Amino acid sequence: MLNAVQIIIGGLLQGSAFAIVALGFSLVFRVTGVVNLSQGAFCILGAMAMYFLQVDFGLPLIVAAAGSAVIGLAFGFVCGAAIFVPALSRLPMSAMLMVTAGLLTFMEGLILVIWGNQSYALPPFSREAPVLIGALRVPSQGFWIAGISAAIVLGLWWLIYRTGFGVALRACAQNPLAARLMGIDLNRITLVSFALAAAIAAIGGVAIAPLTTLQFDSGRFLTVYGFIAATIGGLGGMAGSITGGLALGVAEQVAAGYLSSLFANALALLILLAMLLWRPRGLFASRREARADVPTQRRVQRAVVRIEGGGAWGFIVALVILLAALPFLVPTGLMASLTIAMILYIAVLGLDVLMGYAGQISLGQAGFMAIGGYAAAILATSYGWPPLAGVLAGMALSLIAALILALVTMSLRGDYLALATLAFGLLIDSLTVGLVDITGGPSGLVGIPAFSIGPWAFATPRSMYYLALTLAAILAAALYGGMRSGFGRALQAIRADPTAAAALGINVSRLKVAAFAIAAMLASLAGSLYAFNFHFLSPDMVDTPHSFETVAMLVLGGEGTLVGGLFGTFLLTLLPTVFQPFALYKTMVEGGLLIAIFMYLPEGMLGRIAVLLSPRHARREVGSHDDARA
Amino acid sequence: MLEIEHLAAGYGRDSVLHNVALAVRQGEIVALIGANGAGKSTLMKTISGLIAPRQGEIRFDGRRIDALSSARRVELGIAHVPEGRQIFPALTVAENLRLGAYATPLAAAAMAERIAAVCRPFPMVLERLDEPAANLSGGQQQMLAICRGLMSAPRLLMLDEPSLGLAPLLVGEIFRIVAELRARNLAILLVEQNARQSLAIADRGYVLEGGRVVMSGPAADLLANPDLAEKYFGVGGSVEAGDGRQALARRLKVILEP
Repeated sequence: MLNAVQIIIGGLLQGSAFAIVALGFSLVFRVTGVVNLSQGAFCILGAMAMYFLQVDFGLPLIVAAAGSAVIGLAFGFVCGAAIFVPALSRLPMSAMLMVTAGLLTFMEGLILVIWGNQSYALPPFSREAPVLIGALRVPSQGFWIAGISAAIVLGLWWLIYRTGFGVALRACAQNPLAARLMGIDLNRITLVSFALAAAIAAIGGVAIAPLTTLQFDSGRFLTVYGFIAATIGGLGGMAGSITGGLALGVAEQVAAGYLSSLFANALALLILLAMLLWRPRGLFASRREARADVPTQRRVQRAVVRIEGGGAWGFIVALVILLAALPFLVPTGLMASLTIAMILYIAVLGLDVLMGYAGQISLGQAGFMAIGGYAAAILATSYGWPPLAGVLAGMALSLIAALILALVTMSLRGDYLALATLAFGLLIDSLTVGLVDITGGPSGLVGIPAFSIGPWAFATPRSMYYLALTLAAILAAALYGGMRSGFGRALQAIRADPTAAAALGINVSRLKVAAFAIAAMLASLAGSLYAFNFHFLSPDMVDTPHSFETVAMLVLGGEGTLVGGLFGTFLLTLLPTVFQPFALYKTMVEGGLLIAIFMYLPEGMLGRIAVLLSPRHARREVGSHDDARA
Repeated sequence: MLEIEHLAAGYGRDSVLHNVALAVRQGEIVALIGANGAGKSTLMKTISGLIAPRQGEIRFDGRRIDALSSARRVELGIAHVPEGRQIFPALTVAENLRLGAYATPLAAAAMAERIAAVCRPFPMVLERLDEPAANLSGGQQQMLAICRGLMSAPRLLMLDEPSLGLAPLLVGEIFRIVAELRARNLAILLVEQNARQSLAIADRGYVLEGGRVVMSGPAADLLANPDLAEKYFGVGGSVEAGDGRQALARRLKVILEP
């Protein structure tokens, strides 16, 4: 019994952190309708700034904490003014999600550059021994967290419900058009909310840092847990965010205390999926303030620009010849990177079907790579299966996982699929690290044989390169044909306008599931090849940052073009190899690229080339515009 | 008071307004007539600053305002009551009203006075100040929207379809109120589906077609115009307009002989 109370107290402490992140989510979501994935990164920024000011610089606690909050606020203002607000006025909602994903990656990269990849633990605010209440031990930091959370909630409540700014903020949330007519500067309110959410996250990071260790990429866990908490509470409400956060924290700790911490991670994902399935508007749905005039998802998507006519065939032939000759043209030191790029391209190709054609976003592509990689590796090493059988088994497993995930989320709003896939990817991350007996844990699996079919073994990077090239060419050709069949046209109809597609008799859900399954299986194939190529597989080779990376590769190259991803993949894989100093900045640059491409080059590199090559054929861009912000 | 010349505006790549010229003088009601998509609402949005013009000038009291923000235009005395009421449903009636004066901040006492003054013709609004605006009926919401527009003490009030979706009895009430507002020396720019009724209370009118002003003049002249009667006043309307019998006959002929 005592133990149970102790666990619940731990859960409430952890839950406070989730609640603080969820509050920031809700604030931004309320005003803009955007799920801001960078929220968790601001927590880490706050905690790191605190470490810098308090430990490195020796400032007193209060000064350091205030300084961290100011740093969070200032950085929030900069990001808001430079990225979030300008992007909001010209991008559809799905792209906004990716912009915030880019911001998350960028900030992780920035923190990595400044603070490195080691873990940081802050000293507790006060050095008292844990307080004993009866026989219960409550760490003194717990009181600090509770106090800070309460202060944030009260401050936010006062701001939103008792000030002129708050009335204006709620007005913008409910009806942006009318708010502008009242003379309210919508962009200013958005910017202030974004910066405020950043400051709240930074304070939250400062408060929880002494209880746990944080490193540059812990932010995405806080983002996901904060999002789950906000979803439980119904995005947008304060009371819901707090309740959702605390409930999630307790559920986590109870699961971890009585079962295993591994199960606790899985539980969070299951809670999210259950919420998405049964109560997508949260447990307190009726309290949500609906926006009067803004559709939950802007329907019109950009038309894809493609190279057309005779130029396309010449282009493809030249490309294939170039790729086949490439191993003889580059220095041998680059051969390994070429092989990696070619294998990754297969995963990017699958993603293109999902994103470029069906218009869905997946942030879990690396999760399927992990399934494929580990399935093939384990079957080959422990059970002596032939590599090809292992690859197929991995693809079958990925298909099953994709179907389950898709069936749950496909009928929901587009953003939710992206978030569910993100949660899925993180679950796979924790499984690959946590199931030590099966996956070898953090140190990975060794002794994976080379890929072979019958007597032919692909033991060198060069032979693997040609294998991957052949597979990619076959797959790209098959998909090229597929995308010009009824199936492909139906997918593109869905991308353009799901409602109109459904009205034409297209089974939208089924096709989306099919696209998702293709993406998952190709990712799985790439993951298997990865394992056979390296003869080794560890969790960090196929973890969530790689999901973001595949998205960055795809949009950099050009969505909806099939070949476009190749450019993005090669560029992002080879650049760090060619410019070694670049490696440290890789994450940051990828995040920055993701943001920049969505804002300034939405058609991608190949799309741009297509526009330049064939101005006559280039289709007019159909931009979606929003009267309220026009 | 309001003068517009050579105005062109639109959304994205689409142009909606072309070379529009229009004037509203102090204390007069000006009716904008036109079919759906003629550009009436776009014109209002351009005047209130929701859309930036491509070309042309908008002057208020002789001063150019086309580059000013919506907030500055509200300060100068232009209020826009948009189509479809557009109140803030989860805010209280009082909060809705206070937001009307957001661009022209008032002290607490002055605010209470202003609310009382603005709502004098609408006692219902005063009675329900502390309720969420969503609780009001459609007609009450429209009145709240008008009150909110008046909170900034405008000298030009733009009403976009104030009778949209209201019961016939309430439509009459809205028109009575609009006429009353003119008595306070307010200039009013009025867009209405019900062209006949709006011209009946207006001093002058403009007819928009395809984003161009195709006709303008005293309201009585427009009401008597048989072409307009046929296009915009409906069959019954043209009979009441007096000279419309021939138009009615022509209209019936079109309907009856395919």
